[in-house]
This record gives sequence, C-alpha cells and structure tokens, in this order.
Amino acid sequence: MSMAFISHIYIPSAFKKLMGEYAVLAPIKKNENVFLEVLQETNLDQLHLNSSRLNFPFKSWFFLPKEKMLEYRLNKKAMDVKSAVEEMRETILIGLKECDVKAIDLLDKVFLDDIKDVYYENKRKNTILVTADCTEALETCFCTKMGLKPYPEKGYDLNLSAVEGGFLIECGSEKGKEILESINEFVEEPTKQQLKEREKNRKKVYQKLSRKYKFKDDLKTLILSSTEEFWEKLSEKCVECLGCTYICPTCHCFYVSENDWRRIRTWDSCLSEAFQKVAGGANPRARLASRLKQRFHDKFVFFKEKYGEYACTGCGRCIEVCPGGIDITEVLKELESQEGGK
Amino acid sequence: MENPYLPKIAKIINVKQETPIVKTFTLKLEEEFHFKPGQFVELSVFGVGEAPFGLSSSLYTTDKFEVSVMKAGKLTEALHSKKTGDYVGIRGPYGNGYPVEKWVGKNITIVGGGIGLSPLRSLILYLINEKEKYKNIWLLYGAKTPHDLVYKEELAQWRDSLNVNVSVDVSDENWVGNVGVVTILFDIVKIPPSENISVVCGPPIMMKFVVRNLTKIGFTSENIYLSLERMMKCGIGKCGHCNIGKYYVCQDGPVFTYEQVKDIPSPF
Repeated sequence: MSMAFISHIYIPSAFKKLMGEYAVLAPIKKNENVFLEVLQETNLDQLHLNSSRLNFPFKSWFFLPKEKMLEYRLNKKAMDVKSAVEEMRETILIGLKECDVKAIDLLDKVFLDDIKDVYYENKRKNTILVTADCTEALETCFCTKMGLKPYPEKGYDLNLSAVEGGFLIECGSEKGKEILESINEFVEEPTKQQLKEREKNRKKVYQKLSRKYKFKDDLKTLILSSTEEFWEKLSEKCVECLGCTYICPTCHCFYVSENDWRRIRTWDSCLSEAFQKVAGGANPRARLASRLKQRFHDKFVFFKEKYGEYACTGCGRCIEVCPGGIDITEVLKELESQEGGK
Repeated sequence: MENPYLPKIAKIINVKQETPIVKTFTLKLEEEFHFKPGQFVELSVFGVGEAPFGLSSSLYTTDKFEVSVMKAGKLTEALHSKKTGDYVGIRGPYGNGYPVEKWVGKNITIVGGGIGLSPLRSLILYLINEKEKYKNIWLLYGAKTPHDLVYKEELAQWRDSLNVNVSVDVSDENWVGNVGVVTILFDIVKIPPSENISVVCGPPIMMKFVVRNLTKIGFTSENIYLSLERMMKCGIGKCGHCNIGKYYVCQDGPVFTYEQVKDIPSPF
C-alpha cells in the first residue's frame, strides 16, 4: 500500500504504537505557543498538526543552535580527542511542510557534499520525515514564487493530506512504507472521493499563494543589478539583531569555540560585524550595507552558482521576525522597479 | 563515519624564534604528511581554539612540517607559549595550493610582505628543487623593520638559486639594504612582464599596492596569483566564514588569480 486513509479517531492509537518503536518528535501546543517535543502519553492531547509552516525552522533539529563537536581529555602530556557524534534513536519528525523539506534538501547540498558533516549526517540518517500539505497560507508565505508548491511531492518518507474526517497518508520511501505497514490496523483504503478532495484542497491553497506576489523569475540577474546605494539605504532599516539568519531554514553558517575542554559550534550570522574579522584586525565586511548585500547575494547569486538553486524557500520567516520591517519580497520588488527604470 | 572535524595529534619537535612576534613550529604527526605549497592546516591549541595557518616547509619533507605563526590574538599567543615536546591538533592539509605545474617554463616573481613569506617559503623550496623546470625566479620581500624579516639565514642561502631583493620600511643602524615599502623594489629590479607569473602574499594593504605595481608593469590579472587570508572556522566549506563572492577561500583558495577576485569588494 502506498496510500492510505487514517481517521482522526485512530490517530492517537497509531502514534502510541509508533512511540514504542521510534522516538516521535512533534509540534506540541502549549498556551498558544508551539514547540517541538518528544511525543509521550502525557502530551499526546496537545499534538498540533499545523495547517501551515511553523514559526521555527526544522534545521534546529539537524543542525543544533549549539552543538558539541569534540571532547578532549588530557592523557599524560598528549590529548585524547573524541568525536562527539552520539548514537541516537531512530526519530520520526512530524510537522514539516514543503518549504521545510526543500530547506533540508538545500542543507544537504552543503553538509553532505563530498566532505560530510558527521553531526548533520547522523541526524539526517536517523530521522524519518513526516510532512503534510499546507491547508492554509500565511500572510508572509511566498513559496510559489520560489518554484515550490504548498504540498510536498518528494523528499519525505510519509506525507499527510487533510481530508474530511482524517488524513490521507502517502509513502515517499521504503521506510515510509514500512511505517505505514506497522500501523496497518488503523488505516483503510482511500476512496476516490478523498483523492479528489485532496486535489481540490491543494489547488485552493496553491491559487491563494500564486495570487500574492509577482516578481521576476531570474532573481540572480535582479540581485546583480543592485547598486551600493541600494544596500546602504536598506541598512538604515536593519538593527543587526541577526534574527533573519537564525530563523532562515537554509542559513548554515556557524562559529566554533572551546569551552571546558569541549569544542562547540553555534549558529553564526554573516550579518554580524565580527563575522569576517581576523586576529590581525582586518575586516573585509566592516560595513553593515556590505553584509546585507552579502546575505542577499549568497541567497540568490552565490548559492545558485555553487549548487544550482536559490537558497530561499519562500517560507517568509525572515519577514515575520524582522523588527526593522525588512521584507525580502519588498526588497526584490523594489529592485525590480529600479531595474525597470534603468 | 569519519569525522572531518577531528584533529590528529601532532608533537612540537622544534620552535624557532624568527622575529620578536613570529615563531616557526616544526610539527610531527604519527603518520607521514603530504601537502602542496600554498595549502594550509587547521591547527588546534586544545582548550583555546583552532585557526588556519599556511604551511611553510618543503613538500619533500614528509616526516615533519612547519608553520610560522605571528602573535596576533588569543590563539596565536597561546601557541607561542607552547614548547618543544608539547602537543597540538592538526587537520588538513586544506585548500588548493599553487598550480606549479601550470607555471612550468615561465619566469616567476614572488612578492612577500612580513609573515606573508611563510607560504611563499614552501613554494620557494619547491622551485629551488625543480629549478630546471622554470626560467628566472625573483623574490621581492619587504618587512616593517630588519627585526621583522623572517627566515633571515635562508634568505641569504636562496641567493644562490634566485634573485633575492629585500627592503624594510624603517631601517636601523645596522641595516645596509633597501629602505622603503616593498613596492620600491619594482623601481630597483627590472621585472619583465612577459612569460612571467607573479605570486603575492602579505598584508591586505601591501597586496593592493603590489597588484597595482604589477599591473602597471604589464602583468595580466590572470598571471597574478594571490594567497588570501580570511576568517575561517571549519576549513571544509560549511561554516560560511571565508566566503568571498561565490568562492570559499578554504576550498576554492586560498590561492586565487587576481582575475578571479578583482570584482569582489575588498578582495584582499
């Protein structure tokens, strides 16, 4: 079976069964806030199957905000250095949307190219992705402008589509099939009506999103057309909180430091003033404008040249988080109007 | 899973004081170490951190290798306090290195500033060994004062194989050589630009002016090679720190032609 229907009534039982076999990491709603938590009997009733993308990026599971890389131990005069990759339980991750799986695909390009980042690889290998169609579009969503659809077509193990009375479950991998098999007693064959309903829902959300923004497809050329003055002007709005880079599902920069005989990495941001400062004192991107320019160029020019795709999924989290009111879609639109005026 | 962030333990087998703030460390791993001139290693001082340093020794020596380190911050200060017999961590070699095969049959002009001579020394030791493959070799080297010149004895030895010219910005009572920034050497030595490859390493401001001089003489931007320095953390193209334009200095560099980087703002 590669597609099945599960009724709302059986969802808790299905999860309970999976919880015995796997760790299940799912969005849990507490006082209007949603967190990723390990699903347990005690919080099962707070499980929040989100209708649109969550406000935090899922990279925080695969690439922790703060992560131990190495541990040292003094051994006579020399040093024992131990890699801090830990054995982990196979984990089912719930709550991802198309923009989230796309972001993981983009992070894979960075972390799993010929030199593999073992910490990321370990998490990635042991995580089962359960995605779901978006049934709503947020005010800030612009995924369709980045060539995405509000429902995943690949990159997942299982995908859920909300239909009347429950969910359609589609398998995207052998692992997905295995899981669906293990909850066999809770699912049934989907009806034609349900499949039709899924198509209708998908179309509805897609159209809602498609209407929202209209800007050029060749964003690389658009960004390359920018002037220094443009970034200077934009920098007046930026308060350097670095929020956009931390909340961005594709930003992967990190800093490495030592603490108590441990080597630790933490998320870092190309918008931070010290990002490229060297011990000798030189700082090639001392100006905020040059750092903002870098961020946009990296997303739409450099990543495209290096990996063939834009490093933006249109999730719009950076718009939501910015206290200075910088809106990436507005930036692109403004550039377009300037380019048109040339 | 092999962890690319896991350093190997190296023993410091010699420390040489080059200048008041530069020391050359000779390091030995348990295994052989192979590299190309222009490449670098990530060196760990455990408990303090890790930073990239250019390899300065000869590629023909594989049982040990050297890095020359200027005291400039917390990590280099801690490294300077290390003695023979102490241990550090090593990852690498990383980076592209100098494309020496491409330069066969050509003249080579090496321009170094201060501690920038460190990766160039590795290149010079290679070129001396492969002298018959290349035409004339010039070395133009400048430092702030006579005390800041690194590899002093070797500079004298290299005169047998290459045309060595040295200048200091500020002289002292014992100095009898050229005085002035390194670019004054372009007025003293006649460098023919044709069939000539220039290799530059030094502080940003020095590189900027050297490139300007080289261009004036007639060097094309494809024939000017630069070793760039950037803040680096991982050394393997993940952490994003050394990004310039579409390149990562750690993987696509640290050696770039001027042609590759001339359109990037503050390339040096």
